[in-house]
Amino acid sequence: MKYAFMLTTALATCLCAHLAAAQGPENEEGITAANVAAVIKPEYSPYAGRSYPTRPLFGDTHLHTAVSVDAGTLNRVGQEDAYRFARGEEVLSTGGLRAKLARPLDFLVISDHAEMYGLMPQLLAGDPEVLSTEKGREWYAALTSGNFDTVFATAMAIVGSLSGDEPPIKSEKAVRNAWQAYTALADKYNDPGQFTAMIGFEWTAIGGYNLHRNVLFRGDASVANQTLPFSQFDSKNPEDLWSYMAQFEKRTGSDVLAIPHNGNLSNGRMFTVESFDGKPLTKELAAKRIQYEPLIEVTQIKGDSESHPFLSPNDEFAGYETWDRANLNGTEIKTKDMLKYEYAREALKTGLKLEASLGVNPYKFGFVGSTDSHTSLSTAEEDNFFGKHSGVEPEPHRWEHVVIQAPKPEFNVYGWQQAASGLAVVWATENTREAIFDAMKRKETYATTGTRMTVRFFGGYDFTPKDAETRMPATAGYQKGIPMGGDLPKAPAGKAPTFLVAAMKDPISGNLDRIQVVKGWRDAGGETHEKVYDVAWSDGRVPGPDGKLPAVGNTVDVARATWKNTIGDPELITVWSDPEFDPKQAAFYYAKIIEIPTPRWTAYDTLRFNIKMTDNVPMTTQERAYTSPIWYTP
Amino acid sequence: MWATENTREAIWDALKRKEAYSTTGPRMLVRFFGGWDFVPADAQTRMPADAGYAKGVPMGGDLLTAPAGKSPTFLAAAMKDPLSGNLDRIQIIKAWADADGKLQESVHDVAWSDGRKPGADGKLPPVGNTVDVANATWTNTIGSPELIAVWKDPDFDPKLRAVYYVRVIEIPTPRWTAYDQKRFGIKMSDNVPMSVQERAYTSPIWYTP
Repeated sequence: MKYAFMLTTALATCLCAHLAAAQGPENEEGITAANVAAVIKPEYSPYAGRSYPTRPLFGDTHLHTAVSVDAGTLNRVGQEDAYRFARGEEVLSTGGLRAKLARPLDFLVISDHAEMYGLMPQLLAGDPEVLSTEKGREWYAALTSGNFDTVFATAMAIVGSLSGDEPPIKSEKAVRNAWQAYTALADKYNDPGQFTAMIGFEWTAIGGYNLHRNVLFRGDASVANQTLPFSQFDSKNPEDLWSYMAQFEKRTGSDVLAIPHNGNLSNGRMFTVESFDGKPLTKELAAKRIQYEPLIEVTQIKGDSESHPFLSPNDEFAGYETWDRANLNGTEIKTKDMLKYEYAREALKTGLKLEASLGVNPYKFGFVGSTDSHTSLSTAEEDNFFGKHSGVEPEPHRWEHVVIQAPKPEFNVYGWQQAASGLAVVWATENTREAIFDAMKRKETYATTGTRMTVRFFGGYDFTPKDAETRMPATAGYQKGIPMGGDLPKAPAGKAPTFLVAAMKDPISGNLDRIQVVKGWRDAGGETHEKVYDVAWSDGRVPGPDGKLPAVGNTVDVARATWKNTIGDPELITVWSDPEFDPKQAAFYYAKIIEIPTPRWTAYDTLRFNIKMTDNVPMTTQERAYTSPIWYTP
Repeated sequence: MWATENTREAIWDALKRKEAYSTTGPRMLVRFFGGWDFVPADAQTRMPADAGYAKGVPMGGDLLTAPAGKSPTFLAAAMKDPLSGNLDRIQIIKAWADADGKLQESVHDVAWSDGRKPGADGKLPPVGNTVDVANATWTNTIGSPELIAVWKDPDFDPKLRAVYYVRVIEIPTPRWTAYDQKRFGIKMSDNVPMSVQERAYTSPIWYTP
């Protein structure tokens, strides 16, 4: 110990001031000039000077608290506890359960509904501003009446008013108070380098057709306070939301972006080829959309919108936690012809078509996942899932309770159908609002269904298998290519794009089954196509005569809600080159990584509550990640 | 350090109760509990520490007087460092003073990867080696990302003092000399080792009659 200390001291002294002294006769520690010259070479550490993102940040861009008018009728957990929970502290749920995450999130956007922002807590507290309105006094009296039927009917009326044409309570002052209380809280919990509290809100148009967007701010409270949340009472047209955003940016010099979600519940409206008014899409509108909406939320509790088996019949992994019976509130049946305007993979293809006709691709978006939880608790973990809203928090019967009540019972959505999903993963250079926002703008993001796997995806023309034989794929990735969300340059003559893709398991989740690359392209005739390639997989499996890889197997012990990582691999990496590349065809490529089967949240509920669910309830799941695409444009 | 929080006080307290382990560099997670009632089902869970603390003492702790007819049982679990090699095996090392006061030791493989079968001599075959020395890299295609087992001392004598600790061994990975060789484009002499099996040693659990 003492010797080591002396050596260190001697070395430090040499380095600091007396390089010349070491050139004399060999000293007792054996330090020579050559030793010192070697030590001071600056190129040794492979981690020094890295300017690219080195650690994925896991977060949620879509969380509701008691401040949202709908959540607030049941939810009694406020924004402050939502932050405390997300950064790893234990809080109490509305139902009185102790709640804590296995691991903290790196960032959180509390995106309460813009409509009558902050109304419910104000109503319940008898806020003078709200009670100065007639409706405010009426609702306050009803909610404090102590009569269950009156309280329930009033709560339903309040939730319903969220999608009306006029806000029943119109108080700019009340909204401003709530908004500025929120932005102050976000600034308080924003802890650069440790935990990012990005400011945001949800614009909630239109009724059951779910054109909802979350609007995220790059700046702090002093910036966000220069506006009020834009609500569907201001306009139900997303084009007006983009105008609001444009004006805000011009006025403040600070950027905003919007993330649409639940295309799967829009009944054919999310990714259309028309304007909101049903006119042909223009180049200007397409450009505005992709400028303000660089990302979509592709997976969340109300189902996954990446792909649908009807649209991708040759993809055995198409469809995950699929909700495809009706629109958001179950007021309109969904028909097959609507699906192509709802699912992300098809929308990416539609974007290639529109780009050919308009010169701009409005659907050149990247992916994030998030929860859209209305419990203030961002839980995407299968073994720690607090549900969609406070009415379906953990208890023995939540699996059979109605989560979304439809006019026709066959369109009701039941508790067991909820997906414990998802997460937004960002390759940012540091954990700050600015770095996360900038990564979102360049689409260097991926979505997961709740698991925290690490995924790299790079495209270029010069990746070789050797680039996959390293423990630091990102070094080759950034040197020789562009990361997820980027554009491939023009193809050099005779070359096809190559992709370096790598995935590492979440240490506390399942091993990996396979990596797929999903390609979509536009042919010479203007038609679009898709193909899914298995590019890396576990356990040395050999594809069958039909070219399909055998399934990875299943180690789930449903009764114990556990599994073994004895199948699958802890990490997968490969270099893949497109074997069917045509330099004249526009294309996109994204990676999809699939875990081995693990218990679904319903298996944990079955075990913990010692209940039996009906046979139609799935008990296992294969968690997955979707990277933002890389585009090739001839 | 298994401390309840990252503070001077909590780390100090964990040091004092010896709830700590050492590694040769990798950041593997290692749990080690001793008690009288661990059963194989305790290893069939994703949260071994729940059973560990409920039914036993953690690394650094003491087992006192054995209940009549019972042998100590141990719950040992390890999870790989996400950035390092997979795991080869978990061993439990037992040392004791026999009835004559002579010191004895034995090493038990209690969990291992790849479904290997011990040979005729009772020894587990080596895990293999994927290290590519020239490129200073390896693949995690052998070994396991995690290992867990419940082990019961088969030769327990309640009258004899004993001590048990866990050693977790990774698959071979490049030693720093391999990285130096590659980065500086040099050749070292043949006696310089180029791969290493990183490992972790937990604090022991003592049995004192």
